Amino acid sequence: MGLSFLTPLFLAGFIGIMVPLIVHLIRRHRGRVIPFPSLMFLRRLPVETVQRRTLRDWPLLLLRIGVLVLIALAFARPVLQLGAEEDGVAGDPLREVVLVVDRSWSMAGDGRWERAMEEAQDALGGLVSPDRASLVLFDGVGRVVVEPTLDPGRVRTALDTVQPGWGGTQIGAGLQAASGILQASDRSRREVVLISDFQRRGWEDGPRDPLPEGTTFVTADVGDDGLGSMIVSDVTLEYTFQEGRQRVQPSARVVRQGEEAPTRAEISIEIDGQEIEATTIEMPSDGAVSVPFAPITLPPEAILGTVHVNAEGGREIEPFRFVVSPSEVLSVVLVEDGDALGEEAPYLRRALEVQGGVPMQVETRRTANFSDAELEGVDLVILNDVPLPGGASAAALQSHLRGGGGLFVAAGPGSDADSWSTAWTEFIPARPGEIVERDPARAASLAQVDRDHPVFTVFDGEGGTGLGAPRFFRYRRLDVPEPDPADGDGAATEEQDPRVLARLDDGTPILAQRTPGAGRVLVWTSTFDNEWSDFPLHPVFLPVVREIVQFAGARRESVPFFTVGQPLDPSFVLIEAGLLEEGMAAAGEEEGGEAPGPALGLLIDPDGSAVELVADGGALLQLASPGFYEVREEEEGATEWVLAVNPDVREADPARIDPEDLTLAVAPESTAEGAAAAASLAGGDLSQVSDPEATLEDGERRQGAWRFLLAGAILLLLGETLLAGRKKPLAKQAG
Amino acid sequence: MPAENAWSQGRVGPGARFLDPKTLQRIGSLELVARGVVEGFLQGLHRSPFLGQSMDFAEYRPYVVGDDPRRIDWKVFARTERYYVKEYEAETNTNFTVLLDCSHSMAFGEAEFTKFDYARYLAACLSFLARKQGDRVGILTFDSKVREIVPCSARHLELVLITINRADASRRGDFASALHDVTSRRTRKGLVALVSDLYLEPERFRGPLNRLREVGNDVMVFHVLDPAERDLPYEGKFTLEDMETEEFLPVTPEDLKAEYRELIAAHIAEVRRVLVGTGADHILVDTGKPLDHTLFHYLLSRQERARRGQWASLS
Repeated sequence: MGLSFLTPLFLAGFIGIMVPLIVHLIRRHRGRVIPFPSLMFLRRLPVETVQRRTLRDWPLLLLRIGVLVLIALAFARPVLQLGAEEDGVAGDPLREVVLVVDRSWSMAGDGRWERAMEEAQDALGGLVSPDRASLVLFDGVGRVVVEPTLDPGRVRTALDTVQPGWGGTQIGAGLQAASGILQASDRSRREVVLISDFQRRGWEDGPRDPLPEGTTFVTADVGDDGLGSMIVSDVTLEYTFQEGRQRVQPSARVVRQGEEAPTRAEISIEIDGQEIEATTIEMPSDGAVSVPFAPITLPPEAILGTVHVNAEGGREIEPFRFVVSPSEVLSVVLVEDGDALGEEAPYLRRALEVQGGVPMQVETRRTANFSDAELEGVDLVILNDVPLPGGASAAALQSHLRGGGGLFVAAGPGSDADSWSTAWTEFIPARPGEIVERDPARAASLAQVDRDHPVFTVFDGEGGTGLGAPRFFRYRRLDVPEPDPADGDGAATEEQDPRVLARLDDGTPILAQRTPGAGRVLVWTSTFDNEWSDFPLHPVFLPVVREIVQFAGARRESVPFFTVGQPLDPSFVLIEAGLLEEGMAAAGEEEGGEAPGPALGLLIDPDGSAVELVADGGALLQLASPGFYEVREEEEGATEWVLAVNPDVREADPARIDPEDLTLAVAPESTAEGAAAAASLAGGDLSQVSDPEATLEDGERRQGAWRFLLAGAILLLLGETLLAGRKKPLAKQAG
Repeated sequence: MPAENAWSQGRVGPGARFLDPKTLQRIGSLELVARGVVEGFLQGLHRSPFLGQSMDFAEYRPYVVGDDPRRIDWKVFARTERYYVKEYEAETNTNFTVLLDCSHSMAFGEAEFTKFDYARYLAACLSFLARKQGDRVGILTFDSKVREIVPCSARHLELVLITINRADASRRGDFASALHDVTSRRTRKGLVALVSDLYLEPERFRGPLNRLREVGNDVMVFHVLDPAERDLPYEGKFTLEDMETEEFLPVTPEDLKAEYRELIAAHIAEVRRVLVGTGADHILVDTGKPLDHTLFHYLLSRQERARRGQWASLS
C-alpha cells in the first residue's frame, strides 16, 4: 500500500511546526508572568538567556506540533494506493492489463491503424513479468481476441494478423468486453489501454458503462482532427408507373464533412455492372447534396446498383451499393361517400397517392358494392366512413378476406353501425358502438400503441414520434374482447385475435385488428377528416396511414441496402428470399424450442463464404463487410435474393470526442499519480492517462484520509486547550 | 497600613484620605515625643529666604512678655493705646513642594499596598506637616513628563491632597526627562521632597538635582522601594514583566537572587553617593515598614544632622 498526495504543496505547512517551538521558547513563562518595576538589573545577568531556551511543556508542545502536522497532511489530500508499490510500475506483481483496440472502418484511413499498432506495441513494451495482458478488438461489437495471458507475445502475434474492418464504432462495446476481463481478474491492479480515433458517434451511440472500480484508464488517440470526409450516405428509390411499367428513379445523397474534405467529385451510377450515368458535383463547404439519376425501367428481376464517387485528389471513397427489387403494386379500392369525393376531405386519398415506399394503385368508389370478379387482383379494400356491404357484396368481400385480402374500415358517422351485422362477426374485431363526443378542450389523444405490431414498429424510437399529438373529438366505442389474464400478462400478443393496436386515453380502442383466415381486417374508430379529429393535420398522419395500408395489404417494403454490422434474423432473410413462408417462421420458433432447425438456405458473402440460414433457433447473422450478399437454397443453386451491404456511414463522421471527456465518463475520479504510473507503463507516449480508481465512491474512500486527519487535529486542539487551561499565572497583577 | 478608615468609607473628603487619623495620631505623638526635634528641624530646615516679608497676614494678638518688641504694631497702638503684635502665616516658613513620581513602576507592590500608595501617604503627610509648620505647600506629579502642578500656597493644602488622591501610576515613566522638566519649571526657592523609586542610572539625575540646589532649593529624596524589589523573593521559574517597558524576561530567581541583591544594593549606594554629592538628602523608604516609622526615622535623621551642624549647608 503506497501513499501519495493530491496537493503536496500543503506539506510546506510542516514549517508551521516551528511556530509552537518559537512560542514555547519566547513565551515559556507567560503563564507565570510577574510585573516587576524594572528589569534594568536583571538584564545584566547572563543566566536568563540560557534559561530562555529551555523547553518545559513538552506535552503541550507535542500537542501543538501534532495539530499542525495533521492539518498539513489533511490539506495535502493523501491518497492511499491500495495494492500498488511505491514505484507504481516495476515490481507490482498484480497487474491485469487489457489492450482495447478500435478496428472500425474509420481506423483504416490516414495511417490511423499504423499509429494504433505502434501505440499497442509501446503499451506491450511497458509490461513487466508477471504482468498479465489481454487483447480486445472492437468495432460495432467488442470481442476478446486474446484472453489474459502472461505472454505478451501472444498479444503481439494477434495484433500482427488484425486489420481494420468495415464495422462502425462502439467504444462502449469494447470497454464492456474489457470490463468483463477485469471483473473476472484477481489482480489487484487493473488497467485498460484504449487505442482509438475517438469518433464521437462511436461513443454517443453506444453503451456508456463505467469501468470497474480500481481500473487505471489509459487512452491513446490516433485520430486526426484535420481530416474531412465525403461519402454516399444514402440512395433513395422513387417508384413510378408509366405505361403500365414500373420505373424507379434512384437519388444518391452525398455528404461532405470537415474543412479538409474534397469539394468536387465525379459521381456515377452502375446498374448490374454497367455504368449508365455520370455527373460532376460541387459540394458545399459542409453539407450534403442529393444527386438524382435518370429513371430506370425495372426488369422482372432485381437489379444491383452501385454509386461510385471519385473525389478530387484521388481520395478513395467507398462505393454505395443498393438493390432495386421490382415491387408488386399494392392494389387498393377506396370506398368513400359523395362528400369525400367532392374534395372536401381528401386526406386519406392524398395519403395513398404519395409516392415512395410500396407503390400503390388506388381505385376510388362511392359504394361498397363488390363482386368476386371486381375483387380479383385487389389487395386492400378501404371503407372510409361508409357502411359495411351486405348481401352479395358482403359475401364477395368476406371470401376475398379469407383468401388473403385486406380490409381497412374507418367507422365514422357514415359507417352505419347497423350494417355491422352478425354476418361480419367473424371478420371484425368488434361491432362499433355509440359515438363518444369529447369536449374540444378535453379531447382524447392516443395513449397506448402496440409497438410490437408492424404498423407501429417504425415509431419505436426515443420520443418525438408525435403519436400523442393528434386530438380526437369524436370516436366510436369498440368493445374488443380483452385477452384472458390466465393466458399471460394481459398484454397483446401476435397470436391474439382480435387485437387492439392503439387506444385513446379513456381506454377506447382507436385501432383494432382481426385476421379472418389469411386476410387482415383493421378498424379505425374515428374518421380521417378534420371534423372528428385533427389527426390528418399532424405530420404523423401520413406514416401511420401508409403503415396501416401496407400492413393490411400484406405488402412489405423492400430494403434496398443494409449496413455492415447490422444483425439480421435468418428467418427474415429466408422469407425475403422466398425460402420460408412468413407464418411458418413464428410457428417454427414456437414448436422448435432451443434446438435449431434444418438449414433452409445459404448466405454467401462477397468473398464467397457461405453461412447456413436456419429459421428455427439460428443465430443472428452479422454482415461483416460491404458488398452484395446472395441467398441461395443451396450452394450451387440459383440466387433467390440479393442483399446490398454498405459500411456504416457514421464512420465517415469526422467529429471526435475528447479523450478527457471519455475518461471522465468511464473513470471520473482521475489522479495525476495514476496518470504518471500508467504513462510509465505505456512508455510515455500515450496521450491521455488517468487513474480513476474507478468510481466516485472508491476514489473518495482512498482520498478520505483527510477527514480523519482533521478530526485528529480537532481532538488534539481540544487536548491542547484543556492542558493549556490548567496553567495559572503565578503572580497577581499589581495594584 | 490604614486600609480601612474613615476616609475610605466616604465619611471624610478625599483630601483627608492620606491624613489617616491613626497615622496622624502617631505623627502627633511623635511630635509630642520629639517636639523640640521637629520644631527645631522645621524652623531650621525651613528658614524662609523671604524672612519677614510674607504678605500672608494672619491676625493681631496682644503683646505678651517674651515677644519681640519690634513686632508691636505702633499704628494700632496709636489708635488703641494697646500693644498688639501682627502675626504673619508664612512668617518663618518656605515653599514646600512634593515631586511625586507617578510612573508605572511605582505601581508595584507585593504587600497589601503598592509603592505608589505608600508614596501618596508619604507625600500627604509631608505636605500636612509642612503646612502645619506654616509652609506654603504645593505638588508636582510626573511620569514621562509633568502631569499636574499645584503652586505653593498657604491655602493649597486641600488642593495638594486632592491632586495626590487623583494621581495614578499607570503610565510609562521617564525619570530623567521628567526631572529635567521639573527643574526647568521651578524658580522659587524652597524645600523640595522628591518621592520616587529612582530607577535610573544615578549619574543621570545628578545634573537636575544640582540645578535644584543651585537655585537655593533644599532637596530631600525619598527613595521608595518594595521589599520584593530588594530581595527578589520569588521561587520557581517564571517571567518578569518590566512595568515600564513591558518587556518580558524569563528568569530562575534561585540562580539570580544573590547577584540581583548585590546589584540593587550597589544601585542604592550609588544613588546615595550621588545625592550626597549634590547636597540632597537620601531617605530610603521601605514600604514594608510603617509610614510613621519612615517619618520618624527621617525626623530623627534630620535632627542628627542638625546636631552635627549640617543645616548650614542647607540654608
